[in-house]
Amino acid sequence: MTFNSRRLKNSLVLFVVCLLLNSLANYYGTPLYQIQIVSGWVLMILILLLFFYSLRKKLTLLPIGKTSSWLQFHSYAGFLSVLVFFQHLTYRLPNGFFEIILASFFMVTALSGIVGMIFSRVIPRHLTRRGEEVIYERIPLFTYEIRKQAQDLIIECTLKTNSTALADYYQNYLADYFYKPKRPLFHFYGSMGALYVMQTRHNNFCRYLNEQESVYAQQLFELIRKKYDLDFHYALQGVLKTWLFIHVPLTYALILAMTVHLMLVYAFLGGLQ
Amino acid sequence: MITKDNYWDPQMNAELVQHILLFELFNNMIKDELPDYSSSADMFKINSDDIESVLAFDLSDKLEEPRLPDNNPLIDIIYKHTRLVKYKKGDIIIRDGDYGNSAFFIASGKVGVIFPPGLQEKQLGHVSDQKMSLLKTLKKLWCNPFYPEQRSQTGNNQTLNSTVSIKEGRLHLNNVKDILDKNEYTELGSGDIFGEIGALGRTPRTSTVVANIYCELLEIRWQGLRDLRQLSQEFRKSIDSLYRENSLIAHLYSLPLLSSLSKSAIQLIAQDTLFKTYGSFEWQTDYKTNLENDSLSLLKSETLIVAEGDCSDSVYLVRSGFTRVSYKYNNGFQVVQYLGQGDVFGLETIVYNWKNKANLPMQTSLHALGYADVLQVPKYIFERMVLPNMKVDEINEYLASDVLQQFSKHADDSPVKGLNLNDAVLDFMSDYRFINGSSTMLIDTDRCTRCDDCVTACAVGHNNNPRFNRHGYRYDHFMVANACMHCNDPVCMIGCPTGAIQRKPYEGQIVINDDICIGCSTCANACPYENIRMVDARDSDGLIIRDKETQKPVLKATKCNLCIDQLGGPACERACPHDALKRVDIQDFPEMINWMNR
Repeated sequence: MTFNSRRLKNSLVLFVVCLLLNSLANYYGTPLYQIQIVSGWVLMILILLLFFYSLRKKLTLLPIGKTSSWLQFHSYAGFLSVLVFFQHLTYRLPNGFFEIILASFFMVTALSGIVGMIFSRVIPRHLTRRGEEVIYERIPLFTYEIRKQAQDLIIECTLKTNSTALADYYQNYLADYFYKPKRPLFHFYGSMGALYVMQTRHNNFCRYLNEQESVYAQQLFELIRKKYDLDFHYALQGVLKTWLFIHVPLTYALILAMTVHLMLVYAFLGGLQ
Repeated sequence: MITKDNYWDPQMNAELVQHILLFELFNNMIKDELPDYSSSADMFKINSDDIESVLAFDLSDKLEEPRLPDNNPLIDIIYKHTRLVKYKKGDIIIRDGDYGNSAFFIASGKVGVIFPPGLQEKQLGHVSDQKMSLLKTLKKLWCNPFYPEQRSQTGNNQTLNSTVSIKEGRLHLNNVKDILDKNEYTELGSGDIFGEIGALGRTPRTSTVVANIYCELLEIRWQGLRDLRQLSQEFRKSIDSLYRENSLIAHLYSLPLLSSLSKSAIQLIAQDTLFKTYGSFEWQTDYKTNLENDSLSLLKSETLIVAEGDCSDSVYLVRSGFTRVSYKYNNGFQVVQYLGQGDVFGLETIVYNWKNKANLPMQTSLHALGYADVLQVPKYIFERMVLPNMKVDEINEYLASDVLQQFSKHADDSPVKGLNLNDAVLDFMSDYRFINGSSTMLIDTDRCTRCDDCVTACAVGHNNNPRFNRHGYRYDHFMVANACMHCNDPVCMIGCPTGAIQRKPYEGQIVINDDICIGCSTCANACPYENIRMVDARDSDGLIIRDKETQKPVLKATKCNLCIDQLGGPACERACPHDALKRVDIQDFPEMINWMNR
């Protein structure tokens, strides 16, 4: 099955379920009197099911279906939960202190999930098309290696040409650039502006070099470009990893707040009735 | 000229040659007088009369390096391709299911050849097929060792169970007499040879051979066998007749194309079938060097089996190894497909010629990819026995094949078809020899979020040690990761002294029995894809275990075992949340392309 047909099939199922839930809510809304109780329970079950995905990721060896199938369910159930959430709120803004916190937790979790899903689909393509494939944890090591290569090149150039021009240039403009990953935000937007600025400066600088130095300068620029690609990978792979640091802890916070909410609801339910 | 560097074994010396020259066959070959032997067993019988005369030679003087005769191929073969190996009573020499590239000539002693079903799995040191229970799987999630590569039992001398132990780096049956008595076996003695068919055909061993008493065996590697086959007509005849009797008929029977034929027809085909090995069995040694070449020179370096435009007079059946089918495309070559074990080449043209009474030459070329063992069946056999019985649908299928369509396009002078993903992937898979893989790990880097869930899942399943690297050669946005591909031609299995690396008979996974791995690195060095890693074994305190005698760190070979012991199959594939990873059988090209084109 192609991704498009799978997406179409799952979207259709989601649409049907949404229609069904909406119809049920409209039909039973009046006789049940408090539709929020039902929608609340449905929402809680959905959130727990969504949470089970993170458990599945931990139980890697158990034969309980492929993680990708679970993620499909997680994504579409996530969209469904947003609809149920609004139904639960009866399409109004929350006004109580705890209510606002709980709703914020849910909304940020859901939004971070949606954003994460978009990242997961878009960023890998960009990573594939830029530079070499690198493992995130090894990027600091590669950065060090490039810096070492650049420094060795500068030393060699200085010794062979008896000129400190390239060394001075490196010290003034590039030492910091080679030291650690730079400009994550630029890379996130896919901007080549910083490289363009460096290239212009480099070309200007090269006008004052002799032939021998120019060869070294050219090699140095290759390293600048390599480092730029490495920074790109660092920034984008970092984004792919860090969005989960918002989504997952908030899920735990949401479940905790949801439990408190449930207790409060049932504690005061009699009074309301 | 022989130099010390090209000796197979540095121990090879005049003493060994002297030992070998005791045998009548070799003596007569030196004298260029080939005796008339009726069977392979007779060929190597010691002629007691000759022993004294051979011993009387001052061999050390005759065989000094500068005087080694360039014109005496036998001594050249002995020097380059043989070695004398000593086995103690109970040592397992070859195991059923093992791959090997050597035959063994018994210089002294006796060996027992155990017929199937043969020894039990634990007696052969095989990895059990048993899956882990649900409870154990759950326990594994939390109770994996803290330190990497932790082991409890290691060493080159250890007892595995009541019947098997490892002695001096070899698998040893503790009570060989009892074991042999319980199994059906035959005894081979001095002058006999075994293992030659498996070595020449690169097929798995069909029996287990155990040293009955202390033995001295002359191990002849496949290059030596090949050269001996060329050198001695008698040897060739003997090997060929053995092959025809034991393997060829069974192989022809197994081919779907010939399955409808009678036994007598198959025997007739077997009589007229030529078989030949193209390329080199040790293709993996040049793998890295070849990758540096461009596609055209790579293709040119491959051994040609049939050229485009050659007369279409035979059908070629690939018995083992791989071949590349290609046609000329501008100034290069375009790969049409690759063929592996059981595939047929050249039948389309023969069907076309037969049907249209035409004389169309071969439309494509066939090259050996590394090595290929090919059976050549003359076309008249097909025209008489196979084609008349073929169904119309099947004939039409052959007539509609790509190979002939390609021809018609050329003939009409119409534009040649453009390159598409299929063609390019074919080229990539052939150039890098990934066609060898039966469970190759393919990663779609356009979907992979680099979350490393696959690596984590792999580590959890293997005591916190991942068995692959999420890194490897890439074509477009598909990466072939550094994970064992469970090759169809498992070069890693050749030469393992204890048989620790083995192929499971039903599903074909290549697995390593950690208990009997002695860390010799033969498999890791042989794997051209660098998918086997040698690791230092550690104790429960995380300290590197050292061999008691040599004080060297104990090494173990590690690789992906396709989660053979786990309930749900490969954990890496199941753990990928984005459907970015799949274990694919590259032989199943359409399925792979479907997955790539999702």
